[in-house]
Amino acid sequence: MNIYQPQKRTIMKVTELNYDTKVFRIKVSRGFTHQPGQFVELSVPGIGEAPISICSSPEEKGYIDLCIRRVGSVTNAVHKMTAGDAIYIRGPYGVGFPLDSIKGKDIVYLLGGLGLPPVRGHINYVLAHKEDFGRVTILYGARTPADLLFKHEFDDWKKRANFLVTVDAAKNPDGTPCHWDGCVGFGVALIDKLTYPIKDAVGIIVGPPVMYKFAIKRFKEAGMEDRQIYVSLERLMKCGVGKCQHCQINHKYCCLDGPVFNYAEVKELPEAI
Amino acid sequence: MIGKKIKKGDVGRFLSSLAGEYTVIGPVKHGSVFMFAEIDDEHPPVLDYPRTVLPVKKYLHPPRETMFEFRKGEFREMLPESRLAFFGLHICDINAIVRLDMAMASDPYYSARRGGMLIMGVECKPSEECFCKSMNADRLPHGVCDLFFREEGDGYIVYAGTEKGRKLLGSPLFHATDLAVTGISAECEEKKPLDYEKVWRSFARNHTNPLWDEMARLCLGCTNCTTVCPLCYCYDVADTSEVVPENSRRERFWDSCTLLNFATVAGGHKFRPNIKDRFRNIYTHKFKSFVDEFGLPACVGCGRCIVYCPAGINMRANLEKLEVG
Ligand SMILES: Cc1cc2nc3c(=O)[nH]c(=O)nc-3n(C[C@H](O)[C@H](O)[C@H](O)COP(=O)(O)OP(=O)(O)OC[C@H]3O[C@@H](n4cnc5c(N)ncnc54)[C@H](O)[C@@H]3O)c2cc1C
Ligand code: SF4
Ligand code: SF4
Ligand code: FES
Repeated sequence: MNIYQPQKRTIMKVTELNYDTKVFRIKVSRGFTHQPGQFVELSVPGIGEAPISICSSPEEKGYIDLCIRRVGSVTNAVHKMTAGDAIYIRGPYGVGFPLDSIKGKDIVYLLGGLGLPPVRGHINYVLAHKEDFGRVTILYGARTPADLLFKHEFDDWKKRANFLVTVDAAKNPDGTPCHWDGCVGFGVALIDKLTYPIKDAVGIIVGPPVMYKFAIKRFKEAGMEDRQIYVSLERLMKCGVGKCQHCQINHKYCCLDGPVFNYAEVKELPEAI
Repeated sequence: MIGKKIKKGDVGRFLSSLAGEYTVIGPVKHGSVFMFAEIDDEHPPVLDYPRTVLPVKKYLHPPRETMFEFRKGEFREMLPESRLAFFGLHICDINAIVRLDMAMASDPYYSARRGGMLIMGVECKPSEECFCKSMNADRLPHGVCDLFFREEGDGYIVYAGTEKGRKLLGSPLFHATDLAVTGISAECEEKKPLDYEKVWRSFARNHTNPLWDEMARLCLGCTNCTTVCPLCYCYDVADTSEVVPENSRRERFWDSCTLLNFATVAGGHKFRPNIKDRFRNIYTHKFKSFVDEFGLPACVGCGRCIVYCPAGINMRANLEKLEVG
């Protein structure tokens, strides 16, 4: 089997989340398994290929959900597609977030913007098995209220976890002011609102490249050790299988050794964080 | 290893006898430089050459190739059908194939070309830019080179390193001799070869070394070094469409980590914004990550990057600094 061969699949459903982001449900065989945090390479013939995280829980069988923001050629082409259209994928690839090894522990998610989708499958798995885990906190920040993703799941997360949301500014994406009752400020600052100690918790950080340094610093100030912290790193990826060298972070491949890394593993790795 | 002898005048006839089954490639003169090209009566191979501009990589992992054609709703893999015979490869270039094999063995396009390939080596005449000894690439690797040619009087003594090679030696153009060799190696003139393991160890402490500023100062990021290197195999992928997507192709082509956009992600964030970061990345991949992955450096000391760097950057000299610093 050609390691680059895209497989034909069908879009089952498209859900619009906001002005630039949609969730595509793609039919896969019931035998398809993945770890939350892993990604697929998604192809649109004649346009190209792009790595996209699987955002559904591994327990949802027969399909995977891909949450896609429209930013360039492939993602714009996908956005024009509807249920019944053919789409091409290969994967899943990479290393996802730990599940079994963190059973019994408290978990704090710190997510910025498009950092939520890669973790959503993990969150939904953990919340479906609450008895196996400790306290769960989800801290989520987006640029503006309109940028918030999966709003329809917020009520459920609020019921089952300690869920806090913030936006950088109470504005519309075009910069004009908008109505917003909630918290304003950077996502990282939500750590201050926690009412219990998180020094023994597992910390999961996913967000834009600039967020990691600050987020890690705050987790460490809260008493976490390096090895309690997990990050998912984004790099330009072409092959997804350790050949093209685009995703190299010094001597690690983001596509094979990541995208999810334990912070202790990449702490000394130049260019990683 | 017992060799057989072939007269100089008969080499051309031997190569012609291969032409039925293979496309025969060898070093030919092109203006002031040498290049690998198809050889025939009008383009005879030149065996006394320092190095070609582009290495064998240009055939095994070509500058541009089609991976898939999109037809009738499916991506159809376009595996190349090639039977290439390389004549006149130097020991460093043969070692480079062995190392490229490590990285690309599971790549279907590479393997399709590599599978049926014939490798015929020749003794080299090392020049001052060569440092194969330092890179552990001065000996003929075992079981890879089908035939190896060593000049001897009015002809060549030819040794077979594989079963395929032994069969070819059955040709009546080869005559029995009693000359035997054990181990074939290049006469590299390096007086004090580097220790690539020492270089590898130095990467742990060297990321912030001021040496990088000094070494990268002159680099233009022009991609010459990565283009001519037999062990730079980075590539980019893009779809090309002839108006309708039903007629599209997925192609890949050489890329280079010396380019700014090599590590730029959506949103425009650049992970190696400065030339220094990118210059260091060439070295990190060759002398740290490739060694981690496969146990040997992604360099065979062929000297091409030194000869073709417009800024006069000398990789060997830089490695010497890294080894101690
Ligand atoms: C592991 C991983 C998981 C990911 N998961 C998701 C996900 O779940 N959802 C999601 O939406 N995205 C995800 N991404 C990001 C996604 O892969 C990229 O946004 C995608 O590759 C964009 O592809 P495109 O063809 O649409 O954009 P492109 O056409 O490649 O353009 C993307 C953006 O980059 C800019 N750009 C393009 N080329 C250049 C260049 N040469 N120089 C400077 N700027 C350039 C463009 O202007 C545009 O803004 C993930 C990425 C990785 C690595
Ligand atoms: S050939 Fe020389 S100038 Fe060009 S990228 Fe390589 S080191 Fe830099
Ligand atoms: S790095 Fe330079 S010397 Fe080493 S194999 Fe590549 S071109 Fe040859
Ligand atoms: S994406 Fe090609 S090596 Fe990782």
